[in-house]
Amino acid sequence: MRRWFQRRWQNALTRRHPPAPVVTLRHNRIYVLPTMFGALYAATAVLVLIGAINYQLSLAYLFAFVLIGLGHAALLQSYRNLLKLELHALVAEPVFAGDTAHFPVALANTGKPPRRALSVSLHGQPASWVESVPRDDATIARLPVATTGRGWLGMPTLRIDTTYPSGWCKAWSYANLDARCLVYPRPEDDPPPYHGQHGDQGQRRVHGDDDFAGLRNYVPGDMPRQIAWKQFARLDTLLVRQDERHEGHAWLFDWHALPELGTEARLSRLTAWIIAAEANGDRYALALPGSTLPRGNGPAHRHACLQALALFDRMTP
Amino acid sequence: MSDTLPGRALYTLIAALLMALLPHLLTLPPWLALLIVAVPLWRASLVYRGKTLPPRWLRYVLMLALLALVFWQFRTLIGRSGGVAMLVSLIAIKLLETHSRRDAAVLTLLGYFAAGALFLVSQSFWMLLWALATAVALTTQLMAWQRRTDHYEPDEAWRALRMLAEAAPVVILLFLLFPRLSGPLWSMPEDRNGASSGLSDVMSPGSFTNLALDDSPAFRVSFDGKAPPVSTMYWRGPVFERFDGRNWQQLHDDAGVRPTAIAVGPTLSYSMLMEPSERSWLLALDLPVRWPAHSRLTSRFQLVADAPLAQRRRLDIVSSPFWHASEPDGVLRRNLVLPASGNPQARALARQWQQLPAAARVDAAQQWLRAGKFSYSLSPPLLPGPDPIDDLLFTTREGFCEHYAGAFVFLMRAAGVPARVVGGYLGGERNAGGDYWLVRQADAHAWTEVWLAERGWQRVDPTAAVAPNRINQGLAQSVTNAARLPGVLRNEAPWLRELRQHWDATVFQWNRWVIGYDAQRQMQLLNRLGIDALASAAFIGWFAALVLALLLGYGLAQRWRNRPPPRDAAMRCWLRFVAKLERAGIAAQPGEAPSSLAHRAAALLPAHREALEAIAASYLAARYREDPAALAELRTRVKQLQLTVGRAKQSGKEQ
Repeated sequence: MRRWFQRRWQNALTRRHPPAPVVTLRHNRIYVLPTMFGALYAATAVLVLIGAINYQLSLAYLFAFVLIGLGHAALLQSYRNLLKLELHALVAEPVFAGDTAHFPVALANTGKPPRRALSVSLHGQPASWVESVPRDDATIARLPVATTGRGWLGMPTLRIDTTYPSGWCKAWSYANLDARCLVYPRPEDDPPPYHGQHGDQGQRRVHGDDDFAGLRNYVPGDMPRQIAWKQFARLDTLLVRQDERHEGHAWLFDWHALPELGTEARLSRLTAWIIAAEANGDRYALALPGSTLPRGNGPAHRHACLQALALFDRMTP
Repeated sequence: MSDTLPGRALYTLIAALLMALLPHLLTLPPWLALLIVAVPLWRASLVYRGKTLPPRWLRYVLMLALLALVFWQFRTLIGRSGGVAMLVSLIAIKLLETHSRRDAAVLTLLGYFAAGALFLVSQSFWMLLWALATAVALTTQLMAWQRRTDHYEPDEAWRALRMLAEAAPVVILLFLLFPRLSGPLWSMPEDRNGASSGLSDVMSPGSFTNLALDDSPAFRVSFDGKAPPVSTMYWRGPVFERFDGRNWQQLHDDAGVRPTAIAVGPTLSYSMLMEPSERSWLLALDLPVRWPAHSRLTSRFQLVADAPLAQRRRLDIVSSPFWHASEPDGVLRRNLVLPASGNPQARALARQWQQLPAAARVDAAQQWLRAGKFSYSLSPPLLPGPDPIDDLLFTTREGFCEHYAGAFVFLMRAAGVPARVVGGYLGGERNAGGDYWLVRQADAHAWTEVWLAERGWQRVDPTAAVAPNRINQGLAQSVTNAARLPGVLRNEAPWLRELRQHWDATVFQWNRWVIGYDAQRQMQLLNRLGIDALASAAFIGWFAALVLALLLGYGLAQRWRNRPPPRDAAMRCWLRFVAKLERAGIAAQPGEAPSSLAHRAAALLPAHREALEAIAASYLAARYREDPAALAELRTRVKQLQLTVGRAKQSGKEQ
């Protein structure tokens, strides 16, 4: 029941705050209520007023009204601390499932007074503290979200709170930013080595032949068929063709070669192997049902492979 | 995120609290004030040196000790002075155990309360400024610990000041319209430590002479309509009827029957602003016919308040200068009583007049004084002998108003005319700028009343016989040794007098409209707006209208600030064009430049390429070169543009 209410509430919030890449906090999106401290402050003002009535002190009346007026001004100040603040969603770095994703959000202040003491959080997640957004400037808050499954993680509803300047009132607003974070599958904790003895473990060693990568000086022991004879003819220096095989190996990580595992377990193992191969400087290709990624290495290749694994069998949102 | 209070925030808190406490501390005995101030300073030094707080038992011992000292000093922990002293010590002690933001929150609230209590000390304009400055300081330090960082932000004091400015409309509205009650909610144990100033309740030789040197204001008066002549402004105070040979005292008992007084003729209405005197005497002109609540008219026709005036108080009074009273015989008999013996020469003098009718006896005595070469002096010789009236009338012939008033009543009673001494003030200084009269303590005066059977009580001022100038022109022109008077009472430079009068007028208006703004004044203001009672339909209507006007004003100001940039003719044409494109299924992207929108549209609608590009070009020319020809072209082109909807919609989807 409670969950149902929460879902309805979130849906209502989403309808009221439709997703957009940039959200400007407008007057009809900001809510303000007094805090406990504010209630005690109001009680103090009432006490001063009672004293004024009892001792017939006109200026104490005035001062009690000043306290009430200050409370009202504080309410407006808290509200204006959020008003017209712009929230820009920036690109979130991919993470592995189970890790904490961080959605970077730029808080931009186009107004004159600095915005201070902002607490920003994503729905159900711990808050981040933004001490100040100076005038005509922006501050980036990295908002954590704990991840569970792989795939695209949409940015949950953002909530921004402030009690600045007085602490008597809390102003808050919600924003649905159009941003997502890619969550790679969780790497298997203790995977079998991808270069194991068994050829049927899902990885296959691929012989590279024309993977020409560069030239280096000849050292005794190099095989004659590796010597770059053409360059020798031109430069009169013995150079050796250097290909990838000699720096690392090339592997094919194949989904179909791991029939004994379930889908998520296979993805986890392939993920772990890609991380390990990348760390060893090996080249690797990835074969999945319906798609194959050619051999390669480097951050872009790693990302492409992990993305394919993350989105395997998932509809793109 | 920790809950501990940053050091700098604590310094500002201590500073703001000291601001709230300072005027209170000045009213405490110096040793107690120093003791209390030492605690916050000790706390600040602990922070500065990075030391921890004193142990808990020590704090409790200190707190109990301080409260015990306060109790020992004031014999109470509640009421005005005791309560304030306790509040002040509690704030100091609480500082000792302040380490979290929660403690600071409690202290800040106590600080606001202490600032509100400052008006128990004084209701002057400067005290209001000080209290407002304290509120700003307290609010500023709140911001520091909302930030949770340990540094100063100089703009926060300005922000607090700005908040105060934003509070102003609310404050004015509430101050004017919040219902004022005319009495206290409950009575607190009052402390009578204030020494009374001004008139004394016993008239002895010298009691008025001392007052003549006091230039502090007693009250200020503004008349509705024309003021009466200054020579008739006798502000009636205590009536002295019992003479013991040296001092004149009041009689407080009624003689069973109250006198009846009938007012005849025109009345005078005026409003008085009494300075606190710690006495309940309200100095009205004869004869009050209407007076404020919580006051009454005595059987001696003196207006007195139910409680002593501890605060400045405003009164609206109507008096009738022409009146007639009938007095019970018992009172008249008492006004003939003299001590059994003493002052034989004066008695002998009065006996000579006993054959005359009563009115003629009064005239004869005045004539005798006028002819006697008496002088009016601020420093008459002391009259220590057993017959002081004889000495004054026949030997020294030098005295002040109380001497002559006393002697005159003595003569009248000896001659068989009921007579009594009346104390009060005479005249005042007119402030032309403020259109009011300032009556000082130095204007204190004593005169007499004699009873004439056919005319009732008649005011006779023997001083007028001795020094006629006193009545018309004031003290400085009448006394023989004016140099002893304070500067403001002597003849001073005109510019200085003007400056002083301006300042006094400001103070008067402040006291009248701000300090003296009470239930009665509020009602006057509301009546002027056509509201006859609080919580009436008219009042609620006005209140709602004012609140709505405030909100509307604020809303309009916000809207004005958020208004979109002004659109010129070219811009309007362009927006029509964008709307046309949108109907054709091509939506402009936010921030898209006109030329790129035209290019994109042209790619989707090749048939209109020429028109689209011409529109973009003429828009740019019209808008940024302000070319009127381009504007005309833009207009016609946009008007003529006919886009086929269906085709573009499909291709538009690709975007």
